[in-house]
Amino acid sequence: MYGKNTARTVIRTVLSCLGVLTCALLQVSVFPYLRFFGCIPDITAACLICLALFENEKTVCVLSVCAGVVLHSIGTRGVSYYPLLYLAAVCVCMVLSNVFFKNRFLSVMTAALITFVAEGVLTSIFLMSDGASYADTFTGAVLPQLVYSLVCTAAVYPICRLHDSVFGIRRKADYYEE
Amino acid sequence: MMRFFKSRFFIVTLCIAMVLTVILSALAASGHASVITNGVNVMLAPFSEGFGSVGLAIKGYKQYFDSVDALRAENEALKNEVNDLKGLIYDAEAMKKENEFYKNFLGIKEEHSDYIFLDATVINREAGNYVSVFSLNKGTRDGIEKNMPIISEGGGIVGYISEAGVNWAKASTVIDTSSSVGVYVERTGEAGVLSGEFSLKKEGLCRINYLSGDSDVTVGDRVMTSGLGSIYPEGILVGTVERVEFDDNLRTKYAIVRPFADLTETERVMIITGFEKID
Repeated sequence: MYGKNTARTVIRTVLSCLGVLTCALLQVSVFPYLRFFGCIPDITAACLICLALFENEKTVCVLSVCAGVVLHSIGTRGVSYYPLLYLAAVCVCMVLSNVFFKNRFLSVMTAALITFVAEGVLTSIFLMSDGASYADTFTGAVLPQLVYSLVCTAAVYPICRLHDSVFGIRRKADYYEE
Repeated sequence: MMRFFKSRFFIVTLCIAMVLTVILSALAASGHASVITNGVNVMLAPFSEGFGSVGLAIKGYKQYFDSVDALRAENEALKNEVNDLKGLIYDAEAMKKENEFYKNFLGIKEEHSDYIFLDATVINREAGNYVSVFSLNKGTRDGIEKNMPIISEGGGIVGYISEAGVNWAKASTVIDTSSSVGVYVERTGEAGVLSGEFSLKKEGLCRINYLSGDSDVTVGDRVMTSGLGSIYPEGILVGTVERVEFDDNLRTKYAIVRPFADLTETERVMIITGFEKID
């Protein structure tokens, strides 16, 4: 019984890692051609937030930091805030789902909203430091990315739920309840 | 839940994340690629290539549809441009025609300085294959009166005003059966009367009757108005002789004449409102 659960956990973790990696690669290779008002959604964050509900806390924390490093390495230049942002995002989602909301989807969407707003604020700071106006930054970059990312989060959520229903073997936070 | 955030594991993870953020940002700002960035890129290069080809395929499809839209828009713009240009060509052709008309008009005016002209446009034609009557856009208020002669822009006789209204007039052409014009053959000087005949109307021809049996008139001779009959002034070109034949009595001849003015194509004419009449 123990061995079977370990195998399922390994498969589940590997699939989660592959899912996040796929999202990161899609974000930098496919979505640049599927822009919404010139913006690309942060589907890596969307995937991590969804996984934060179903995946083990430790795994999802490590995964978020690694995803941040990967995305910084393959897709961005300059200042990197992704490792910290993603770690914060999964923590927010975990807190929301464990403390505030019983509804998982609501937790995911609220965490996504907070994350993407934070990401928008960071984007605005960098864009405005380059001389862009606040209005242009908000309407041209922050708002479309926020909407697009939220839509993508809603689309990723059922996939993660399916993943959990197939490979789910234990509930979140059980580790600390033991 | 809060126990997890106070756990050593989370604090270590948080510290690693912060350190990574600082190191990666500092290296990126200095323009150096870190070992981590290099490693990640090397490991993910094959995958990046695969996903990149998917992205390029999507880009290709997108460009295809974008180009279809662009081509549609271009096609529409070109259609509009063609329509505009067609309009310009039409206007230019109309102006060219008008210019030619006034040029001819000026020539005729200089040739016949004693005539008073009034130009008019054909507004209605007789329904049918031949034209013996048509309407003009000038009437009595413009000084038009019955029996005023009409010539074409080329200077050939067209006919005369058979009816005049306030702002319109009806013209009978030289091929109409009611028409009768005093003429002479320019080369021989032989005089006769040119009149329309029903059997010749279809061909747009008319005939000169009562030429003498030993008449020298031949095909191609030019026929001019003689001024007799008080409608037409003297010396205006009527047409050219197409054929000459004997009458039934074999003592006199008649000549078939093709009017110089193209009665089926005439759009603008000149009405001679004043000239010196020969009694």
